[in-house]
Amino acid sequence: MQFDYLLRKVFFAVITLIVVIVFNFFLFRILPGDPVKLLFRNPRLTREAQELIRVQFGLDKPVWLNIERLSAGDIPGALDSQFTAYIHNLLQGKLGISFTNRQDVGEVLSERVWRTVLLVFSGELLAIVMGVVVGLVAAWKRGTAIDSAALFIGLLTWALPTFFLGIILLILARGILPTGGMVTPGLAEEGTLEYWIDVGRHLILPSLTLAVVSASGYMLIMRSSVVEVLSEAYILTAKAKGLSNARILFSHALKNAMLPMITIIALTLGYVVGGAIQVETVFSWPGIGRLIYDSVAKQDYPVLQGAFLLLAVSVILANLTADILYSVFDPRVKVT
Amino acid sequence: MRSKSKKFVVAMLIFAMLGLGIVVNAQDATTTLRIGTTYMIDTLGPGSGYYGYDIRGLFYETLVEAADNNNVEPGLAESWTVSDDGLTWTFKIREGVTFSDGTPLTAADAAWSINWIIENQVVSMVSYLAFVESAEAPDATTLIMNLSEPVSNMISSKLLYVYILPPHIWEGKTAEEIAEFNEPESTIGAGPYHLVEHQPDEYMILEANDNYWRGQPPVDQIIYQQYSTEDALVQALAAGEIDLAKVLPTSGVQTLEQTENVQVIKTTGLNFLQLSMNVSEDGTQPASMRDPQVRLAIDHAIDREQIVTVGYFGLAEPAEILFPPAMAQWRNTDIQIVPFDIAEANRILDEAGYADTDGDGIREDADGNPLEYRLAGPDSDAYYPRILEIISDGLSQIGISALPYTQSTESLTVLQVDYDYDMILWDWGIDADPHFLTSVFTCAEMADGGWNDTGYCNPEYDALFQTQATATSDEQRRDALWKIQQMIFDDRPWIILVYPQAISGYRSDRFTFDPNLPNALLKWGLFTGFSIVQ
Amino acid sequence: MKQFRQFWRKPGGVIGALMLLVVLVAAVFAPWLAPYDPYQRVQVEASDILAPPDSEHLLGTDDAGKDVWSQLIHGARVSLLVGFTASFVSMVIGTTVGLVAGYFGGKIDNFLMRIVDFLLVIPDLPLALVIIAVWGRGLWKIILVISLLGWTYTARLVRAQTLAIKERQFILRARAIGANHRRIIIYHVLPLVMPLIMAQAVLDISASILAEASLSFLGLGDPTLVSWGNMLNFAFERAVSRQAWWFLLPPGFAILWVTLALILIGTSLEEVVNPRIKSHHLFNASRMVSLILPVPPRAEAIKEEP
Repeated sequence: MQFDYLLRKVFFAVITLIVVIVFNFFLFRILPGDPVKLLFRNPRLTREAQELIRVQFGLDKPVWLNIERLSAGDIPGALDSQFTAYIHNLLQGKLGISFTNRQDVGEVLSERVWRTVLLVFSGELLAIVMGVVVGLVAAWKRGTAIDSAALFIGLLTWALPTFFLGIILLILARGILPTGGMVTPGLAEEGTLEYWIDVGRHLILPSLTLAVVSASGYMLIMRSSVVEVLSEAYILTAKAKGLSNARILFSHALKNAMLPMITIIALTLGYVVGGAIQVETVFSWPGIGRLIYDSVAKQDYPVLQGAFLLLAVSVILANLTADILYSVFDPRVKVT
Repeated sequence: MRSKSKKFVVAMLIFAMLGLGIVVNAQDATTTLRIGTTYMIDTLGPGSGYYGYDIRGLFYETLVEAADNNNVEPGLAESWTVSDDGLTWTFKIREGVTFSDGTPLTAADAAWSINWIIENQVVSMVSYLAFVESAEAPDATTLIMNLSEPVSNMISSKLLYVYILPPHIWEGKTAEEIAEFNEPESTIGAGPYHLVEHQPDEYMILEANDNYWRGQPPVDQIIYQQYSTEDALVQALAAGEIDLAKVLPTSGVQTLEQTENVQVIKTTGLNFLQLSMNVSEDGTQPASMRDPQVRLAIDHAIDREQIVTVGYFGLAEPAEILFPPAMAQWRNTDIQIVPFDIAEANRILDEAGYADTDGDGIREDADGNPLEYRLAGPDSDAYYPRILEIISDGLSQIGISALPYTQSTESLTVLQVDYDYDMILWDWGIDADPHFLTSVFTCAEMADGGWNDTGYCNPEYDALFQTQATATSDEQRRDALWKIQQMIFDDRPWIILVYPQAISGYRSDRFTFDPNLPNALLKWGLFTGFSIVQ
Repeated sequence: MKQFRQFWRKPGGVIGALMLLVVLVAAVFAPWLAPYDPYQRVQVEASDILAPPDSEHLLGTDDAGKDVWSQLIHGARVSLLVGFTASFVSMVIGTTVGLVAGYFGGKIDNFLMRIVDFLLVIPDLPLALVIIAVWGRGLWKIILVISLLGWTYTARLVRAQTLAIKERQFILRARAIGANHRRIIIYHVLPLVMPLIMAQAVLDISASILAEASLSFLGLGDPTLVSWGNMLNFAFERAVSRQAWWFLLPPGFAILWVTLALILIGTSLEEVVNPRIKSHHLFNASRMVSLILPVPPRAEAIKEEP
């Protein structure tokens, strides 16, 4: 039964992925404004060079079906379109070539993605630690001033616009921490300790910004989960049995509260990549979010297409992971 | 902005959390110039890019090079002569020059480069070789170029942008491969620097070419660092993270001028802000936009002083002439600024028959169509909407409705190419030589991929353009160029609004700058007169 | 009604309501409260630009020489307009989809939930960026984009509730005697789901306000509008370098103020109408276009699947 359930989930994930792939193609073709015209504006491109670019990007072909060749009786030739070329390339792992810098989109993305992952993971890690600790304390001390203060700060940071917090931190840390970027170029060889310390210094502000705005979510969930668990009968029983507070917290409450936390952590990680745009803009962090922002301005559709696919896949995977974790940890799923 | 103590607490908190201390960027024996920018370069390689020509200029050498005051000085070519018919150019190529990878550079390489550019239609550079049919090298120091027609600005403009490249890197590549060749080897040239590391949209590290023919460049290493906002750039310079920022926002000037060890340089450069008017015969604009009287009235209704004060924080000057002051040699100084005069603008429109017949505050043309225009500007900078607001406000006082909106420069480019706009606020940075700028208004540039963004097409203008292109004397060329400027002023496909000041800044504790010292460090589109503080 | 009386007993809800009232008053009476008209361009001199606060300009002037205080008051209008309209539209779409999916179940449910899943997977802020950048700026476009991307969470919530409600005796009986489906949905199911929807809608308003501010900050707002997001964009690009804190801080705190107010109201409402839910889905990881995050009552959702 559990296997059936997972199979179903995987099946729907695949369906969603296919829809995303088609949508992705569709979105960037129906948008008004012909990006190729921009290429043609490129410093005095000759007519021959323009034609070359058209062929190179496959833009000389019809979008969906090659009606011309179909009506000529060439049935397989009907598939000679931009859409089939897109699918064909995708199956081979080719995401296309950037309109603006002619780089392979896969390369561009793989260069960028780990930076966003680094930012998001360190930010979320910090958020989870802060959220769990504060949430736990608030739940344990529920109803007291400590609880109210924690709740209020949680709501306050939750209401805080990410970019605004980023700007404020940037101003406060002026002259103490780097103003932007990920490394000080030329300071140290990549991979050395000095290099990573440098990256760490650049990472402080952006990850702190992300952490503060996400921590409240974890905190509130942690708190309400623990409160829920604490009020359940077996905790009362445990208390009655004379178990120490710490023992109750760790052996029962925490264990049970972890279930929703794990789900939510998995889900968040999928989303936050897309949400890093603001932080990456404020702190010149060269990740995926920044790439999307720049590519939107440059109408670099192949890059956007690739980035969207990457984000969608990461969300789908995160969802799937959450479902799997849930079925592993939650006894209720097994019974149904 | 905030009290010191709070700043300190925050800093302590941050350090405590990650357990890191401040790393001091230790200075070693090599001198490094760190340059900050908001855009760096798009593609490596000698052609096919929009941005980063200043950086490319450090990689490659050209036959002649720009010197101060729009003069030209010998580069790889020591001297040159031209035949009487203007069709054969002979250059004497310098001896003992090598590429940055150590291979020698001879006249044969120069001839190969020119033929290669023409054969492969290498974008941007090929356009500078219009009318060049072939090049040959009879011996190691002689280069001969054969032209089909005489070209007046061959030395003063054209050859400044034609790089001499190493054949062993580029030989055998198809045009497609050339466009996509993005490896560091593509930057090998005979210039003073070569590329060591490139992280797109992050940074570039350049090292001095030890074989550089002018001698060892005074700075061993140049680092370009890209910031995503202009404010970050200002802060980086103030904090000493970078030594030089070539383009600074006007909003940063006040702070930087008060910052210790930072010097701000303001110059009027080769750029201007203009309002492009769609005058195309087959554009989507209302018919009234094609009426020169309407465009004259609009010119009168624009408060240039306010644009300078609000848009540029005072760091610009009102403009009207197509050629900025930096092009003094060709500049038509007879043209006067059209004064900001709402009454006069109203009078012109009244006289031209545009009256507000339905009493809604907006004038209509003879067919009853209201004078309602789309007024667009780029979203790349926050000063554009401020300027659009000033223009829109002025126009509303003369019965013209123009609601401003902003869009990405790329979207606006597409609109211009399609002539699908009414008025667009636009910035131009131009060559010192007027050839390219004046070519923009020719009918030929209306073709696909052309630069004619207004649809202005006038046979009389095209004739003048030809005259300036093939003029054999400066007087003849100047005469044609003066008429061109007058014509653009009268017809107003562009209304030139202001000449913004170019603002740069550098760390005076790391470098000194003496504008009177030519070529001390970087004549290559960077700065002249840099020297290193001990 | 009883629920509303309960609401007023929640201190958070009362404080939130009072905070929102301040913003509402500012928005409604902006032309009378603001000393200057921020939509009126002013003739300025250099000294009028980014001038620090004084008696004439309570919060100083901005980079165009306009009164910041007046803009702050007028900005409330845009924020509330965007927030209320966008959340209303997402509420209508989300409720309809949720009711239909939950009530009819089967293939319809499957189909609608696939659309929801799909929308949840698409990165919303990037998508909004693309649409606005290409489609062009404009307040209504922004509202439309925010609401079209923001209804999915409401749909899931309503669906889960409907699934539970439709098994109740009186609904089953009504269906058995062949009552019109539309009648059942509108007169029997909707009223029971409504309180929860209202609580969710209030939270959606704050998310929409944040989304508008974020888009404006990224330079994709309508630059002719006086909104807090636009103010922040101008401040960040043109005033931070000149240390004009009086232009940067007020709009940021205004956004914080109104979102905090709405969150306080929303969570209090939710506790009242559905004590079981607690503040679970308050959590919003993307923080961007809305509260669409799929933190549905997952356990229920899973159990209901055959």
